[in-house]
Amino acid sequence: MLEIINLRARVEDGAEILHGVSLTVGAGEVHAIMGPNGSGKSTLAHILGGKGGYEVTGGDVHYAGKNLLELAPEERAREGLFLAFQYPVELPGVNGSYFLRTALNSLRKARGQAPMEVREFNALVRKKAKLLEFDPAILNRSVNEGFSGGEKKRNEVLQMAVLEPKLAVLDETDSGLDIDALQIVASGVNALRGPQNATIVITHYQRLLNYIVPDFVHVLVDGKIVKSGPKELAFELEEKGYGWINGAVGTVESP
Amino acid sequence: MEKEEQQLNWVEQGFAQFSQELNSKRPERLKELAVLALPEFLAKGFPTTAEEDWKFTNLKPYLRKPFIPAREVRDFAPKLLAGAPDFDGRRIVFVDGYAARDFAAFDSLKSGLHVFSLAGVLRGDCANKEVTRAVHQHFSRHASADNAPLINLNTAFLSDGAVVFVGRGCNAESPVHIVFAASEKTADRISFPRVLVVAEEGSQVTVVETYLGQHGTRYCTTAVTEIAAEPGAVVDHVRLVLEGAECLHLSALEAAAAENSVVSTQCFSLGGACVRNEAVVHLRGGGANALLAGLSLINKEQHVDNHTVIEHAVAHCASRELYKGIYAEQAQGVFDGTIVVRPQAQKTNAFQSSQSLLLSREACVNSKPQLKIWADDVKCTHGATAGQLDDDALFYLRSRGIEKNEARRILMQAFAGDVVKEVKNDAVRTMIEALVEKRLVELPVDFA
Repeated sequence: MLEIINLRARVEDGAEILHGVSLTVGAGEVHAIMGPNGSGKSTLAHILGGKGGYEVTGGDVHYAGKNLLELAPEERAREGLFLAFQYPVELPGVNGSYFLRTALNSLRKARGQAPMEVREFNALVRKKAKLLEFDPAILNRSVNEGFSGGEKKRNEVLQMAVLEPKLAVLDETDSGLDIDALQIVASGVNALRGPQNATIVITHYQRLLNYIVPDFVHVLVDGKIVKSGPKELAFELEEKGYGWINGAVGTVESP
Repeated sequence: MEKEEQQLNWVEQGFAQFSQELNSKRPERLKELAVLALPEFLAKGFPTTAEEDWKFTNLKPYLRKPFIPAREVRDFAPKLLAGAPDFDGRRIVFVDGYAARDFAAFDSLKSGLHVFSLAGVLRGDCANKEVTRAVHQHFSRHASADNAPLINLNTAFLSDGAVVFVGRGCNAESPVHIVFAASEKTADRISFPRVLVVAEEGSQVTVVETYLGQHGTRYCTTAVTEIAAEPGAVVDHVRLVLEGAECLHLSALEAAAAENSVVSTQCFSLGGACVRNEAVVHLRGGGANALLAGLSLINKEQHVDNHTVIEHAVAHCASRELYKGIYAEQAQGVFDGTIVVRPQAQKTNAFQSSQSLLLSREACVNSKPQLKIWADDVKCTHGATAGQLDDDALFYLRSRGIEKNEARRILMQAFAGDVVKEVKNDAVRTMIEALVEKRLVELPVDFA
């Protein structure tokens, strides 16, 4: 579904952050990308989503048979990519329900479907919210405006549930959440898992992976995936910290 | 200097001819006021950028050719009116400042609401004693030095206008819509629309002034509105500047708010080449409350200047100002807002905000807040921002599948919606929402 080959990227007019990342994600899989602060996790998420301000200096990203890097952010979304933001943006004056319906109808239009009417949309939102055990009332407010950290993350998951992506990239969805909120968000993500879609969970902490159990864990350090393994790798990291990996890398690379 | 004298020649000559032709039709009161107002105007002439209050608005390029004071034409500008905003078909139409339809539209709509011709009332044609008394009490009484040039010019050539009178305790409910259209054929005319709103104790009314004109015709509108809100009255005033692309639109509003009255004036500037909207509000009774708001949506070489003065003359009054603009291509915006707090006006609450969105590198905005505070126990805040569409917000919308231009439109609409939602009357707000939505599509974003 997604194939990242030796991706190198830098901040526009800045230093290189990703020094050759390779990763393959198949349908039905959940991959966790873990790493310390500043390792390039969010940069990777932003580049997959198509955020401006970065320059890809090498490598390729293939997604659904296309060169992902050539697509505009909205085209990526229409191909089924969804980026759950680490810091969801506040949109004062943009009604949440209107925003989400416009988004859904943009995706429907790209698929040649007729726009969904308000009534049908509201029913869909109620259904999804119930599944996630969320209160859909947050959609009556301006998007993310004045939301608590937990509300913002829930809103991301609710959007994801309604837009039904093929590939979801969750960028530090656990940051700023207490355990209760974390469980709610995680069970939401789990409810949306299926054999046809895939999830990339980007996180600094292992604790999210207690609730969203990955098939594969990758450790990103200094812009490179230095270790990949089964879910148990996450426990090892939790126990020994990133220093263990750093040390291991140092040993391997030292002459 | 020579050029400036020439600029005034046409005013003087125009006045001589105009008086000769029209004085037989003008009520005595208007003639009396005119002979006082003309010399006052001529003494200083059109304001120039040398004056602090006109620093950012240069009228010179628009005054290079003379204007001709408009005469009454039997041209109802039907094409123009067909596309004019409409609530329920009840509106009064002026063409070039002259009443083009009778005032029957509002008769018997609501007892207590009266809409008349100003000239008619001044001539003594109005049977309603209350209205006649109110007009004599308030007409041309509220002008202050702040917007004297425009008021003097308007008064010198005034031959008619609209009077909106709301009697004690009456809630007019249905908005009073006054349309000022520029006629379709003759170029270079200057017209002098005038509105007087008197809201008696405890009454409530919404007054909408719409200004329309043809594109491709050079003309000038010099409009004056006076509002008297008596104790506890609620007056919502809306100005829609939808003038033609070559119009010089100069408007001055003067409002006096008595105790516990609420006055709001909102100005939506979408059309015109050069637009200056002056609003001067005097809070003269304790507990009076004012809202001044404006939204400018302009492009090409349009210039819109919102110039406001709020005078807190007594204690315990509140005022709020919210001016926003979206400027595309080479458009220029100005906001100059003065808050005056007199020594006795303790416990004043004044809030001022001006926010601008620039859609190109050539667009610009000048914002000048001025606080003149002589009292010590007051709360006054002001803030001004100018910037581009937020990249992070745009990316967020696009990441959900929303196309770039649609995403921009959504953000612009949210920005503009802040001002639109302040319009209290549902029918008027819905109409303005539609106008804004349509206008936003015409504003190109020049950034990559």
